[in-house]
Amino acid sequence: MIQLENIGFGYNKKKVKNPSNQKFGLFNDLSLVMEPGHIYGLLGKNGAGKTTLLKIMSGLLFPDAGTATILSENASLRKADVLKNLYFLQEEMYVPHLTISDFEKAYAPFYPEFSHEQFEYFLNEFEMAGLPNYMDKLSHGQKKKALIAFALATNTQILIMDEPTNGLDIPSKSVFRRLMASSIDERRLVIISTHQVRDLHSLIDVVTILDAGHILLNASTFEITDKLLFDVDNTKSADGKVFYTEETPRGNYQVKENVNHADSNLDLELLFNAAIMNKNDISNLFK
Amino acid sequence: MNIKNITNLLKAYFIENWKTDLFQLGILSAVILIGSILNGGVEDMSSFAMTVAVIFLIIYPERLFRNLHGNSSKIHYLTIPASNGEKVVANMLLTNIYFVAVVVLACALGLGLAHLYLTARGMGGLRFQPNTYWDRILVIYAGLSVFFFGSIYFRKRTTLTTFGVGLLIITLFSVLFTVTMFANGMMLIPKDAAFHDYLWNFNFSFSLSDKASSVLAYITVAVVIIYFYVLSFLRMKETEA
Repeated sequence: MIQLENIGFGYNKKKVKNPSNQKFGLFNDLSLVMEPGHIYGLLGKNGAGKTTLLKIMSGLLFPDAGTATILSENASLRKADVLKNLYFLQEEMYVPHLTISDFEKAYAPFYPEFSHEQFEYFLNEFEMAGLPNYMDKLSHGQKKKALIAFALATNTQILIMDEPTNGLDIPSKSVFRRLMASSIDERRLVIISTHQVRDLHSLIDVVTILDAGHILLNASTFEITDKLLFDVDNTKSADGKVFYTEETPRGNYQVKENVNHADSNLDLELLFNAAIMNKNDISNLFK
Repeated sequence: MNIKNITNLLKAYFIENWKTDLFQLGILSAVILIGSILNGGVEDMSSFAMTVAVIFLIIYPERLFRNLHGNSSKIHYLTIPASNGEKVVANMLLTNIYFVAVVVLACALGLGLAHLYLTARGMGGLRFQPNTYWDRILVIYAGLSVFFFGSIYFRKRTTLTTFGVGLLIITLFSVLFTVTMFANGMMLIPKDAAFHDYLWNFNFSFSLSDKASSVLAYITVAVVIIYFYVLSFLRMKETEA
């Protein structure tokens, strides 16, 4: 559904080559395939290029090398048929001077699968129904909730969300997780770029970690817990190479190689730290 | 090119902008009305109305692509499900038909009300015959295509920047033309004629009939219009967020 092949990209187009032999600056020879029926969690440090990668997928930025294919079309062409099946929810949202109802009237007709009933339902769940205010006068969290409701109601095949839970209050984060879980089906691909890993822990079923212009990890949560063990004070197993340890008042949290294929619960924060600190080991483990 | 997508773009524009457009129509009508009344007794105020209208028409296209001037609004606009070509065509329709119609309507409204007022006060009436300004309207359309391109190309103060760049190009071209002419010893300016009179009445060595000149002028204007809209489309395709 989304295929990135040997992507090269840098913001400074003049400095094509730099001393570290990174030809394009941000991404070099980056390849990634994303399939429908999954919710991908795109993780990475600040400046790793998460938003840039999302923009390349959506045809908003053009790669300097390689090809970005979305729904079998070149993303850079921004074809209408592709855009009808893609919704990009930005971190810094744009909301016109319109009421929610007028926003729906203006933009829903572009999406053939848009459902007014679903939109009303999602707004209700977020306690946003019937707000007469203009969208640009709403609070940041309210704007986000209105746009999340709209994004879900478009029923596009691809839904890209950049930091969707930023600015949401605690009850709204729960509602968001519930609505997202009910909205995913086998034909839909959702990509969520986030730093708020604890908010989306239960939602994500494929973890993609971006680091230094490369995909460090792209694996399902099942595969991750099969190969890595998330343990506390060696209660599950004392075997396997330890990749990361975090001392807390509740004990020593560890990420280690799951040599005995023991069951454990994935902790995205620990996984991320383990991957960043053991790049080669983690890459080799998931090859 | 999908007509439905273009219709949806136009619909979205009207839902977002009808209040602003109505407000600006009111302002334009009021300016023309007040201007015409203050010049009461002058029968033909069309030139004044046209001047005000042209200023409004130049300002309008800036609003069309204002979505391209902010990062979040740019992402919003570029991901609206319509092709680059459909977005350019929708905005061309707004610029060349809707805006012109709104401005002509505002002129007619302003002049009509002024006519009623002046007639009632026994101060004479006014005339408004936009058809007599056909040549100027064509030039206005050519100008609109330039400002249309400017609104896609420049990110800040697009109207002013386009105007400034246009003025600079015209100035450079005039200087180049004059220098070349003098450098070639072509002292063609009659001693008794002012320079601008000479330029105004400049005749090319290959003398054309009036009809041929007219056709050539229309072709030139058409080429300018097509050139800038094609350029706008290409720029739109290349626009990133």
